[in-house]
Amino acid sequence: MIKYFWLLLSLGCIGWYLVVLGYVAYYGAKDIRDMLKNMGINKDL
Amino acid sequence: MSNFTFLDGGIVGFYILVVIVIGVFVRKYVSKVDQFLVAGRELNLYLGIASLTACEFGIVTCMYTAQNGYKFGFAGATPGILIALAMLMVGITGFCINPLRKAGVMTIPELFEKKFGSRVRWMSGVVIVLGGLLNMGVFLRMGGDFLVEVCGLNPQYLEITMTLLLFGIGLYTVLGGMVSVLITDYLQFIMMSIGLLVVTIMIFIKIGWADLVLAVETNHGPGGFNPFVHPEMGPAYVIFNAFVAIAVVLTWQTTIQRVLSAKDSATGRKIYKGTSPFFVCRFLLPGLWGIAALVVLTPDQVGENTIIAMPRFLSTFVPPIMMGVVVAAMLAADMSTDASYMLTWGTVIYNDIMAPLHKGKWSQRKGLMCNRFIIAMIGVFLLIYGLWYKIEGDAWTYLAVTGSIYLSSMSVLLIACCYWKKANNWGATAAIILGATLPLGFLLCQKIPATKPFTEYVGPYVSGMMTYIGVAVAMVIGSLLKPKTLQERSDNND
Repeated sequence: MIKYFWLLLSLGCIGWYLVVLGYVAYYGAKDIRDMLKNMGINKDL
Repeated sequence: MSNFTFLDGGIVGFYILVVIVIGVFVRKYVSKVDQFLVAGRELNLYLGIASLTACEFGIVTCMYTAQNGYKFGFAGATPGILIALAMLMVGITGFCINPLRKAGVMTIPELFEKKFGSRVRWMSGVVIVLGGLLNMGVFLRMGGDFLVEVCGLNPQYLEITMTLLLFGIGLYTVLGGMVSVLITDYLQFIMMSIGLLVVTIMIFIKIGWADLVLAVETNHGPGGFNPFVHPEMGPAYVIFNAFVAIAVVLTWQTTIQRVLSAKDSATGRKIYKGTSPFFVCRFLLPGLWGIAALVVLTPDQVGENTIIAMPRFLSTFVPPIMMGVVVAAMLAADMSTDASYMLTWGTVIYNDIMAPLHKGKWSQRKGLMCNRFIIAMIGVFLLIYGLWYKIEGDAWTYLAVTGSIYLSSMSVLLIACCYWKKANNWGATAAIILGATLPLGFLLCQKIPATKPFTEYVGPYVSGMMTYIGVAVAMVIGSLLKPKTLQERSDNND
């Protein structure tokens, strides 16, 4: 039973990582753009 | 013989160059101290997840979690599960991180000043830096050991290779501060995730789940699946790591700095909730690499030093070209960790230890110059300490023990500061002193032949557990011992 727990956890980790990688790759780039934009504005102020 | 070729070297070199150029390029966005230290508090959710993930996974992480897999089997992933649970709970409830973020401080000691006074802030800064630098001091050596094994690098060139790498990381951290760290963390998150996933999937395909389970069963028995029955782990290991997990989530400066850089406390909590499963991956996936090493390598091929089992396995398991991607991924992980850690401890040195000097009155230009100088000096320390200190026992336990120098006292102080009205500077001072002396004493006793048997008898887990319990007791007794008249006087002064 406990072996299946570790198998499920390992597969869950791979699955979670794949999903998060996709999300973060896309939205993280947007966050960088926003951050630099806001910092540029604040710098001008 | 390693599968690392010149083509792989080209991939690695190109990647490092791109990261350093981008890191240096964004320095133009930094003109104020708060932009340098916390990116002007403009951090949003997904970049926060990328940054926290990249920062908390370096070559050193991969090495010790794989070593845990090799030494303890699947049970070696227990600390990761405990940290994930702690982070999820804190993210859901906002325990401590809500008041911390709402206070608008840049470091935890800055919050302590409001409750315990400036002396406690200064002492907290000292133990945070002491614990953090001792912890980080072994990163370079372990990164070098990884390169020697995986790439077949001549150990003669280890020092110069690591010096050049640290120089590159230091360059963009010194110039761009948190902004450079966040953007390079994003690139490094993508690169290291690809490397981590590719190798793990290859292990599943080429070695197979059944062989991994068989190797753990043969070498560790039921203890390889259950930490409570493992002869080298047991309940003391689990309890000690549960204490460490809670303390890490609440006070580990590199982790908490993402909450402090977040736009607001709700974003900080979302970053915690979103990142929490990563801490299971952080221990379990490299742990599978360590177990794969157990399948493929004989004990003679590994020898006494189990930390080199995983890199030795990778050197022949990963094919050329893919090897370049994997080494670039690991270096990416290492660069983001080193950069974040240098910036973080530098922040505490400037913001808290040097607070009596600058009193927040220095010009932005002078403050920036000083921060950059501090980070450069941390780099020099890393080179010197990192290349001569030899770890006793396994790497994770060393990191947990050195981290406890401040984790134990800071976590107790933070909880007391946020939720216990009677907590005062007497209790805080007693907690800081005890929290620093017990782990340092343990490390020193490990190095002295006369006391070494005693440390082996007590063991790091019981010693670590006693540190956390002792610090909490010191906080309570110290606070209650302070005479009421003195307490009222200091309240009036505040």
